[in-house]
Amino acid sequence: MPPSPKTPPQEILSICKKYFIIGCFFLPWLWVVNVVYMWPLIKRQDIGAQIKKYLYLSIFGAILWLIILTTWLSIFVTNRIEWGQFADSISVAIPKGV
Amino acid sequence: MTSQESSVDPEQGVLVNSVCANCGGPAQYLCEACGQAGPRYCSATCQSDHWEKGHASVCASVPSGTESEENDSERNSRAVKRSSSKVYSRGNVAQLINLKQRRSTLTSNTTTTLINTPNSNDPSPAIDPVQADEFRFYMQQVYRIIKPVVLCIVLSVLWVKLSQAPSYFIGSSSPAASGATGNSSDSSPISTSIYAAAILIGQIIVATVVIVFLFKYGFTKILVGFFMFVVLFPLGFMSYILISNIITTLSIPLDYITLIFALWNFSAVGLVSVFWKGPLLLQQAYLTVMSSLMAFSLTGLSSWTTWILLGLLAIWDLIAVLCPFGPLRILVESSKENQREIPALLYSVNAVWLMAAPKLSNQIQPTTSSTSLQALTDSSPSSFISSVNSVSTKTSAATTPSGEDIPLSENLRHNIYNRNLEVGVHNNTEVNNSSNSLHTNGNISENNELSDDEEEDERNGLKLGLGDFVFYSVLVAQAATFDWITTIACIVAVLTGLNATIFLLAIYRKALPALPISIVFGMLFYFVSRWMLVPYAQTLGGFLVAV
Repeated sequence: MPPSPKTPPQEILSICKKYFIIGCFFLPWLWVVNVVYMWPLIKRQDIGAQIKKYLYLSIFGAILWLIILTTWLSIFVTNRIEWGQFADSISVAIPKGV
Repeated sequence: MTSQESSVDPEQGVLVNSVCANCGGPAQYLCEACGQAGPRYCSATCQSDHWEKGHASVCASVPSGTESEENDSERNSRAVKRSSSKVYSRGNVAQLINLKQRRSTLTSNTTTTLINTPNSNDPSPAIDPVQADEFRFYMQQVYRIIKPVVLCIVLSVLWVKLSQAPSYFIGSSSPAASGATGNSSDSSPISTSIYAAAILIGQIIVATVVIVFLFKYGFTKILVGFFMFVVLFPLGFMSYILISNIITTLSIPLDYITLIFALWNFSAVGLVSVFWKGPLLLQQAYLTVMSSLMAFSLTGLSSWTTWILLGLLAIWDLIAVLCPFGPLRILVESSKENQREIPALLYSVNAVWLMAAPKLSNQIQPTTSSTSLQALTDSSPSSFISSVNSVSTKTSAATTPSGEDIPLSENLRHNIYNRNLEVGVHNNTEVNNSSNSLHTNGNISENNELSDDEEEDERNGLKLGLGDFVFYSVLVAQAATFDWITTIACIVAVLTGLNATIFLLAIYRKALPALPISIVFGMLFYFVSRWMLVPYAQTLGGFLVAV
């Protein structure tokens, strides 16, 4: 669901840009929202190209974060017992019986 | 539109058809749907006459669904755009969506209209197409306000059940056992519960009064800051507590780094999309989740405290909305006087608007031409349903003639949407007019003026405090700590109460508190099902096992 077509193009562009910039503060979820929000506008003649640029950057960043997170989680879960004290100190809750 | 002599169409060379099908005079216009093959008309009035005389059953627009629907929808959208151009130009997501939705509903309407028209000579026009359409519209509105309420309730039941999971795995599965764990704090003396509930209700009252004060004297920035805090608290802190609860009960290995990262994402995006700009669906989802988290935060109280709190809240709600000096009443009235929106986080079926005061009005705005149901997240949990303004007389004049000879109950309902949903109804009737008579330039422009007038009343309609959402959910979540039977009974009771309140609203046409009926119903159902239904079911269950 894109913003209303009656919104001035410059405003849409600035929204898209701000979403991307705010997303740089460790907010990949905002990038995902940005992509979903703005994707239908990508074919517009006037600002489509610029939006496309930001959206591709957002997608790239979001995927990067996804990879980083999954890697970290799998490392943590597999090595949790070996790490011992350190792993316990960063665990939210220590699972019982494992 | 004077008719001119056009005896021979030079391109076609057909002489026969250039006679008006209705009056026999020289004709210049043809039916848009039928094209060259169809009849000719001298004027729009002749065409609409001829339509009623029988062209409706022959017209090419009737059987071939898609094409005519396209035509109609184009026409309708034109009408809608024109009628609401003022609003539309403000440009927001909600209106666009609304337009689409309206267009789709209208397309279906127009087809029914077309099909029904030949029967309009029948002696019993009990289901007028316009009226049927209004029924549909009203039902949609009720459905739209029920849906987020149900979602919120279900979410908070889910939170309670998830964070309580051990009592299923470890304890026995009989309801009495889980009830015992849930109500372990019942033994605490009643006086303590009353004391705690009194403190909470005192906070609520103070918060409400402060908000009303700030609004009345126009300190909007302080209010925005306050609402940001109110949103951030459940999104950040409560979801942290909830997630760590769930992690502990389900033994999920998770580190703090990932958790904090996820929470930061969740709450920051919520803040951005609710307070700035974002997809409508996301805003609605965030507000629903937020109120369910808020409700979850209140389930930590002991059960007696919760019941006393809810009872006091219902009374407070009555006082605040109905008394001449009740703060919420003052709030409604001063927003009416100053032509300002009520300062709150507003959850509506169309848009989330925060503080849609003039300064911030470039943000998402309430929609005139659209549904006028808005759920209002009053940050102070007390809340109200209000039908602030009444129908503009012109609209009711436009709609009532069709409601003369309908049965009583239908008449009643007719009145309901005359009163509550006037804007949407108005638009629908307008477009129905345009599709009925096919040449309605005059009609449309007249209606345009009407709708321009009505844009003044754009705060019309039904508003439900999202504070109600929270306390409905608190009630049901409290029941969920006990048993499934009571949970379901409470959900039904709360929704019944909500419907009853809406019904009363249609009768009294003034601001009404939404909590009392629902809460009384909910408490009644809770205690009845807890002391009678559950033991009964248990006994039956025991026999089943024994046999």
